[in-house]
Amino acid sequence: MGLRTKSSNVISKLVVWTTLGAFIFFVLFPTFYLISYVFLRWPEVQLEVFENPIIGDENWRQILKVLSFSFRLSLSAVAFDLVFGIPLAYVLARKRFPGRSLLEDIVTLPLVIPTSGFGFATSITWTTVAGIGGWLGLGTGLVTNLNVVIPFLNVPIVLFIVHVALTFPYIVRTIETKFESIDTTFEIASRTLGASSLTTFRNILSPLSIPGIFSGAVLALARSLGETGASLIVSGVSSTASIAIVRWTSEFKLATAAFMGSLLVVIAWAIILPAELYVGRRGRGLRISYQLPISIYRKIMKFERFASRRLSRLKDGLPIVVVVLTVIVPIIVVLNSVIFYWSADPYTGKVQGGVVYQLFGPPNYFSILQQATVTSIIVALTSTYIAMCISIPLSFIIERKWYGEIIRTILKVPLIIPTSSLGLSVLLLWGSSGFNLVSPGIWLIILTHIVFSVPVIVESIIASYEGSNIQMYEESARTLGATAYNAIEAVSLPLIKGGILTGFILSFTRSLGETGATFIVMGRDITVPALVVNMVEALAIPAALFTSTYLIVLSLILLVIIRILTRR
Amino acid sequence: MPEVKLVNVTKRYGEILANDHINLTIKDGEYVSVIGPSGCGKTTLIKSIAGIITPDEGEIYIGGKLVNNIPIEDRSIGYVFQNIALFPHMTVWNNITYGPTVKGMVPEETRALALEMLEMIKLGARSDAYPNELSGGTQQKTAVARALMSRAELLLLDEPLGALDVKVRAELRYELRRIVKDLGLTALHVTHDQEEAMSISDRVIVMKKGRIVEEGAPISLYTQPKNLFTANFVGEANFLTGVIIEMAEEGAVIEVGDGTRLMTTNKDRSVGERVVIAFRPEYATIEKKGGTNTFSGEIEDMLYSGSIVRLRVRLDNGELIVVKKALSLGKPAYSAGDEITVKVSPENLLVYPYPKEGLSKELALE
Ligand SMILES: Nc1ncnc2c1ncn2[C@@H]1O[C@H](COP(=O)(O)OP(=O)(O)OP(=O)(O)O)[C@@H](O)[C@H]1O
Ligand SMILES: [Mg+2]
Repeated sequence: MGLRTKSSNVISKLVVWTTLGAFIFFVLFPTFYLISYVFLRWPEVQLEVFENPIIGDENWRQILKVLSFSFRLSLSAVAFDLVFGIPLAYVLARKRFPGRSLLEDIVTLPLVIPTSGFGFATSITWTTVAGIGGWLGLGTGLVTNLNVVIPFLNVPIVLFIVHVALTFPYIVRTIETKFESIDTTFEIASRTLGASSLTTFRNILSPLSIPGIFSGAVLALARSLGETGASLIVSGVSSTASIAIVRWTSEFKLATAAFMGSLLVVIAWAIILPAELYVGRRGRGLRISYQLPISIYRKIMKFERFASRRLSRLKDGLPIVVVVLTVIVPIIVVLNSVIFYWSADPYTGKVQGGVVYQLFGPPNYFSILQQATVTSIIVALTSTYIAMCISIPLSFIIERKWYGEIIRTILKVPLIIPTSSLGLSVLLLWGSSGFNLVSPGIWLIILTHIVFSVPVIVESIIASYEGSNIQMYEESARTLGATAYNAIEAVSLPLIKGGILTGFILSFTRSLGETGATFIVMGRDITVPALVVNMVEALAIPAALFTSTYLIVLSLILLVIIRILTRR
Repeated sequence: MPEVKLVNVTKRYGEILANDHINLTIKDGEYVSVIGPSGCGKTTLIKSIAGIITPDEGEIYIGGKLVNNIPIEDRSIGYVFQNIALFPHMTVWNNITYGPTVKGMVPEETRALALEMLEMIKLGARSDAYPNELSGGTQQKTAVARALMSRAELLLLDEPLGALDVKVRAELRYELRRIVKDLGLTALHVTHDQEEAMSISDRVIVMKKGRIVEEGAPISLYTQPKNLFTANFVGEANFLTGVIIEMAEEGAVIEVGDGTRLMTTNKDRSVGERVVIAFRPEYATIEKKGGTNTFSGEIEDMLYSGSIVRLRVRLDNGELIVVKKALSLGKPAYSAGDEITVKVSPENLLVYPYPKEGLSKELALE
């Protein structure tokens, strides 16, 4: 008995140390290397960015320009998301109606669809005659081209739409979850006291949900700042910070790219950390009180009473219109166009402009696509598998060691830093200018994907761990004489199987759809989402149409699988 | 003003009939309690009156006005929730002034009213505290104060004292009634605690499976329940089945089991009818052997609870009854295994026709 305890102690120590080692090697290093790179090579950075002998501080001015553009874009997209996302979250959380879970799935869809395919779908929807313009009988796209900007904001409209679509799910689902966690009795109580439903929302539900709204907004903002795949396709002549990193890396302006990337990482940190601290506080919502003159106050409440009765249709309807326009329509347009362009360009009649010619004719995109599919699947499977091996023991460490919370907070970083920064970091760390262990290609892609796969899986496992009373079961197993190791094996693992499974699928889909980082580290290997970007850049539109459709269908299938697994 | 009238109010949840054609009138200024076993539809009833639930059928009138299509916020009611539901992000002060504020009352007036209310429930010192800093009893009082502050004349309370311990509950009971009566409100109070219902209200309504089975003044429900379910649910009762063998001058004579005969004062029955006799455990006395209206049996066991001891007696005919006695100091007069004789005087025996579906089905709580 004593002997067994001792040997299992040694084993558990070994497991902890191996796991922590793998965590540091595969996740921590790549995440933070970029910043240390900038510090270590500061003279080089200074020379290239600020005191370039030829162009002076032009690179620095470029950095400021793309940063300000990125923030303008992301903040306005998040503001838009909030305006339409909060009502939608409310409807999803509080109302029961047929088609509710379908709506939920549709809102979630942009999380699953590879962004480059989705970006391409959006761009043809808005700027070509195959999209909305054609449906309206305009003979051109609804928006003339990708460079048309929204007045005042000075942000390209199609880019804005894509960012809204890709960040909307973060806002809606986070806030929906928060709303659901708040007992409806508070709202009913408010109404019995004479408040209309809108007044109730303002006074009760929204202050209680502030942490949820906040974290949804932070997630959406981080997502928008880091978005690369779709932006590469729809940005036209503008450049976001993430695109700039990709472009500068390909131009070998590594110091500038690294400096920019670390700025983004630091900014992401600066946004997340206060938000984490604020939301993590056990406070139950925002405690505000303010005094308005009674006459104004009465007017506000009268309006709210009116709006609660008369405008509720509008409030419920508009967000759905947003979802349909930004998510459903692009998917339909792409599917529709593939059929349209199948054998030949429908407008010129040229077979060279048809899907079949581009796939199987001389351009022979089909064999490239086959190759890319194999690469994508190998990458997704390998990186998810390695990430699982690290994540499962890591989750247990997070749940029971005192430093667990620290690890968990660190793990938030790779989730929110722009993937192009991450790719650059990995490239600099393992590639020829760093340890020179791995050169760009499939292995470097895998190393990159592991970095963000680990946090995705860990979060799923922890969510299911905290959702059940595992600690209690484990303790009772241990009072019955099981050692800690046995307790984990016999009691915990089966209980968190659901979490592991969800984590696997989420990580797999994320890896399958990732573009930003992959683009930087892929070398001559290519994944399917990156292929879409290349096709668009090569103006092989029918091939891009087919590949986007292929990606969308693939992710729809994955979504169905997720649905089935996470039901129960 | 706020007379409440329900006509055929019905609510279904799929197969379940939560409220089955409820007809009910609550007079202005009356304090009415609704009791019944868990799941009998009490909450459904009170929520329908508040507008939180829309009934499938029937009409609800408040102050003579049909309110079926009037939203919650315009029904002008005070509602106290089973789970208290104080707004967690607001202080006691902000909680109780919420109603007047959203109704657009002038701030000075709200303030005066709130101070008065805090005085009445003796909470002035805690007005800056948040709900999670208060004890259960104080939270409950605040919840009542919040409901009263909206100046509603109709107060609906859903198990308002349910979450409290016995002592506090008994104390708040009286306070609640005092406040309601002082302010001249109409109140509907849901509870599953029959003692609470008895002590707080002018009238008690007993529900079972979505229906009202009986209503009346607390005393008469206890002493003269009109049906078996009420006799069982309100207080404790022993039940014996028997047959009427004679209609004597004073009332029916009933034979229960092996030849034991009991005199009752019940006059409207006929010979040969199958009946159920009910009596309260505290109305049974222990006597010397022999005499009228007695049965003999053996004490199976004795259960002590506070000032009372319950003797479970196995009668010679095999049935089990309970006899309640005040606990006296000194050496107990009886012990388990003793043969005793139990007497119940005729006026304490309630007689009911034997239920069609059997006794246990009639008494069942669900
Ligand atoms: N939202 C609902 N959906 C389905 N069935 C419901 C719902 N609400 C109540 N019921 C059912 O209606 C019946 C009456 O419920 P109600 O809450 O009114 O009972 P109650 O008398 O208040 O019980 P308790 O004393 O336990 O609070 C129960 O059988 C319950 O299961
Ligand atoms: Mg109830």
